Amino acid sequence: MEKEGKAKGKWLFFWIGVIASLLLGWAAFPKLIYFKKDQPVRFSHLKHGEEASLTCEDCHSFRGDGSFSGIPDLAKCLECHESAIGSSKAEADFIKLAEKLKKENKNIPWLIYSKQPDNVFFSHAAHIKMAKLECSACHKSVGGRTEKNPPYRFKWISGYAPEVMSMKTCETCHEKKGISNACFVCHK
Amino acid sequence: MKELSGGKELYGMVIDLDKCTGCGACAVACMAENNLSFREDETDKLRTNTWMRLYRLNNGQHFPGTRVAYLPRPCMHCQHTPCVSVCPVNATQLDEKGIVSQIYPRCIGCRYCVAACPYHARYFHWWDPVYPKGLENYLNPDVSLAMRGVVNKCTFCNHRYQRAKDKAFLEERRDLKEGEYITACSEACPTRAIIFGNLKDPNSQVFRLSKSPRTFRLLEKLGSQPKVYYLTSQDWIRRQGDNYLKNEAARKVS
Amino acid sequence: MAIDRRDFLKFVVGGAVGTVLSPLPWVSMDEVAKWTQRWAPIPENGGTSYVHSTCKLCPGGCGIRIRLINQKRAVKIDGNPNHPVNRGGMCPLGLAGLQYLYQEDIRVKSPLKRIGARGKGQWKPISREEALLEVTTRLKEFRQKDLSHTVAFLDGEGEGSQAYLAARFLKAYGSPNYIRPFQLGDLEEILTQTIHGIRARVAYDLPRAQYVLSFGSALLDGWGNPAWVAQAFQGWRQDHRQGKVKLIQIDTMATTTASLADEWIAIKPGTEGILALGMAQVILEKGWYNKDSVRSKTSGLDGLQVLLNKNYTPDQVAGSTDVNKETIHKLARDFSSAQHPVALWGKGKGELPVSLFEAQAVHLLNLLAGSINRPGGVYLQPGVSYASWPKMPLDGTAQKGLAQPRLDGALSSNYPKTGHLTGRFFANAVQKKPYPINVLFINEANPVFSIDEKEVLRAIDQIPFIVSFSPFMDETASLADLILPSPTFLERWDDSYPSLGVPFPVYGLTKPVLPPLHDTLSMGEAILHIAKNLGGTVEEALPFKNMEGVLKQSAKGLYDSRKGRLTNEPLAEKGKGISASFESFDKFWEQLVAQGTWYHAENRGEEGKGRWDLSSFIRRSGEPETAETQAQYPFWMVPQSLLLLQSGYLANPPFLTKSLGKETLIKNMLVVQMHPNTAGSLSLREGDGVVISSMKKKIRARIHLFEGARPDCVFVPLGLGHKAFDPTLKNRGSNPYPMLDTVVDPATGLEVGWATRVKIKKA
Repeated sequence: MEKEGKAKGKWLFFWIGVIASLLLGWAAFPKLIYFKKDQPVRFSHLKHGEEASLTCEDCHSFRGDGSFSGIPDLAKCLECHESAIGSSKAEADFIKLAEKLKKENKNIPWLIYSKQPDNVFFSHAAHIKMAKLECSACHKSVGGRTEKNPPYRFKWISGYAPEVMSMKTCETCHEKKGISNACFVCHK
Repeated sequence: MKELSGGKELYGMVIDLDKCTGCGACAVACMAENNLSFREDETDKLRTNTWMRLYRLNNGQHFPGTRVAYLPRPCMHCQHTPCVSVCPVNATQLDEKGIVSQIYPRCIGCRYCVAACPYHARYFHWWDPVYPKGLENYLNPDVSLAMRGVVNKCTFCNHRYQRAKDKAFLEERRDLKEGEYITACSEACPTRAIIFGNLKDPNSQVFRLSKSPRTFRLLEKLGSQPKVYYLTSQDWIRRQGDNYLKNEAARKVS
Repeated sequence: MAIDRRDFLKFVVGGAVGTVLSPLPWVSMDEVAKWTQRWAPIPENGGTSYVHSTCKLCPGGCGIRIRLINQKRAVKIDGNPNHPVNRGGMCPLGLAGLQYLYQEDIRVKSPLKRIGARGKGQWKPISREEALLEVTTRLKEFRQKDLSHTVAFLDGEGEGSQAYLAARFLKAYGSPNYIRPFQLGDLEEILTQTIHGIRARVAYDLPRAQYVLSFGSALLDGWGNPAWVAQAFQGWRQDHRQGKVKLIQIDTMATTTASLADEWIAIKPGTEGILALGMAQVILEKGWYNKDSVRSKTSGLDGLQVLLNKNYTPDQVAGSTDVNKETIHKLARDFSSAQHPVALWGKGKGELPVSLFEAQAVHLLNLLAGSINRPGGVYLQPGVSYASWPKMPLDGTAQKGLAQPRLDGALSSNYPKTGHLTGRFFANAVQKKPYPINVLFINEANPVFSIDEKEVLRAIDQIPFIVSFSPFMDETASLADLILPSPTFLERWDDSYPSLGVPFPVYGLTKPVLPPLHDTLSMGEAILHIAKNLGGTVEEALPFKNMEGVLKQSAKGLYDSRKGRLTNEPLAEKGKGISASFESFDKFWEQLVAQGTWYHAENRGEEGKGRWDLSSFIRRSGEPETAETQAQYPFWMVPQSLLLLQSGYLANPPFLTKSLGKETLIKNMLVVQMHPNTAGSLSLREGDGVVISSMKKKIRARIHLFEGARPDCVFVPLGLGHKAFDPTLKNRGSNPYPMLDTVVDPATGLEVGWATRVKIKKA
């Protein structure tokens, strides 16, 4: 009798182990590996793009030497926000922070979602000027022009954010367009 | 001379040993540009990391017939690469513009390439790069640093190519003009002994100089086809650039 | 239901299977791999900008371009391609300049006051105001006691507005003791006074010279202005000039210059002047000299010929120099028949003076060849003009102080033409002769390292208050009572004028490319503060708010001359100075600050006054060696100057030390070079340790066998053996300076020395 019962549940614990670890690996683990941080300023790409009808290049521009400036510095923000625009709390907070940082001669410590790994060289000029890609082709979430910038997530082991492109993404596209995939095209 | 294969861009270097005074500006410019670190004791030359290495040659004659000469040795960026073929993980590669690349994150530190390179141009990082307090401030952001346990080497300042291209792209050009992309060593050389440029451009200075009758290449007989050409008017220097039989005449570039 | 062992194992196996099928191990592994990518430091990225300035690491005045990231982080120093001196090229020292700026361990980070005994390294950081006040209080006290002359200033910068300011301050304060450590220029000034009747620097027009005869100068290893010489050398070696320009090196070993020269004349150490006179004898006897030049610039040629025919015939000269008669003849013929010949003197980099006899003998050749103030020859460098500075009032105290003799005896009746005698200064400071020194300011000088340390240490013992302006904790600064650290040349206002060895005026402006990293104050700023605190005529003599104001005053002179041009300007039309095109001085200044350099390439050479009486040609001084000395000290130790090894005030930066070869340094041992046969006779092999002793001191070293060394010599690099600085340099190698035999040249008072008698023993 006892033996029979045992035979019935012969693989029960095995499957419990499988299911538990699958749950852990597929459901919990991807959440566990991220840390979250809020951006220092509540910023809306939607507002800037639609209400103020700014284009990407208005803030994110090329420098004279062909490099890409990425996130604009504080002075750029203050060109428009010298004094508060509107009376929202976010705006008031921003103005307060901006005044403090300006005095310290510092920039807003933005957390950059798509900052590529440090051993990678990404040429915005090649992709924008030569390949004529839209910004949103890569910056997908910004392409959606969010109401509020989402929290910055990064993996706690490597420190990379999920928006960081993988080498495969780059290679696939280069392959398709007949562009070289030599190491030194992207690595530095 | 056999024509080098490759596309319309093939970068190479000509080093005029008649002009080289061994001042070391190239070596120091290279260290400063490429974020090479240093340790307290760098006198063990088997362990030191100098992508641009300055060799002191000696004609072997006794006083007062002795002459020394200096030979700056970057990576030769061979067109027929002994190092690339032995890499088990594809961490090194000869790219279209003629540069032998080395990618640290991919390197597993097996050092096959170090053994295969006939020019000792590859270096293994035995230690993590450490900077005495304050010195990490001068690191060049265009060059990533090699961590411990990987091989690194001269890249012909590939990051300067990337930057030059960026500028060209901004002006919606695909091709670089001569002089837009040069290495840090050739830029710094006070006697203009190091000339860098596109070997496929018949109007370039390197193209012209590489055809000079004073030209030789290191260990030419191996067939590795280095893209670094040396110029000298001294036969004894040319003879030290390769292995010759006693009565064999030293060769020009074939 | 009980869980037995089997169930548990099944659970574990199931867990393992599930884990492998989930992303967990793979993502983790990938993450760990990515984590290793960040083991090495990651430099902060940002926008690049370039700032033009002037290098102050030597008096060469090279134009530099500093690359900044985000306008706050200097990451590279390059040459300015438009600069008339270096044309984009750089020497290794300039390229490593950022290591001086950023290496915190060697910098003095705030004003320091000594609290323990001298040299114990116990310091208290104090505020700038406190430090300046302390200095002022002492200076006031000595002025009140009419002891203003007991304040001395040792200034290694020695050139440019900051040095002019310091000298002026000392004068207004009332002390004649503004002293500069030896530089080749001091001897040039003595030479031109004795020969051309004016006090001037000499500059060699090397780019246009076609026959260059160097009497032991380390032309390609740092002599004169390295960038200027390199520019000239590359010109000589251009394809179309191959074979047309000859470089002849007279040297005792196959040095870089000897090897790259068209010809190397091996010579016995210390006999260069004799060889020059031997050549002169031949030239005069054969009548190969330039008659116009001799007629217009000299008198008493017959008297000289008598001397030469008596003591300097080719036979006699060959006997004392080891250069054979035929070679002397050939040199004389080639030199006098060459287009644009020029002869150079100054051993090594010019660390130590040569005798006036040697300098005159070599310069005589230039004169005989008619190369004075001629293209490709020697130019008397146009003097520095500070005409635009206001007149200086002197009060009674200052006048009294200035009436005192200088402690070093320079400019006295004994040595009327010698401007500075550092060695004698320290010797007299020890003996308090004729008076004791109460305060010593030291700027950009490290006498404890570069002069005979014993004497300097004794002198320092006798001086109650020493103020150092050194940015680094060097050997001398560590013995000071107060350190008022200067910022490096990348953090301060300064200038470089004139450019060493360049025949036309070049004014290089140095400006702060970043804000000071530490609590520092440049020497000039400190002097301005102290002058203000002292008040009265001292303050009136220096009516400037800050160093920028001082430099503006100097630049005013350039602007008012309406000549010359700025580096990045296109070439002006002939005869029309471009400065004239600036509508106001402010515009000119703005552009000078942006571009960094003003120069006036057309202005070359100053005319001499009077004629040189050749019949009174200086006699060779010094007693011949005794056979006893030769037996006891059978070898010559010949110092070796290397471009990769700083031998003066600056310590070698790590990049340069890293580049030194095994013939210079192994681990922490100095390496000396000797001929294999010499080593054999001493039963020495490659790498063996030796003790080298001169009459003054001994050092330990390892030997490197080199076939190009003269067999009776041992070659010792200058610049190692520091007891300060970072671990790449501290306690590595030995310092040969204290070993060098020096003798006072009776003609100049300078302590002359180079090759030194030594004995060598296996260690």
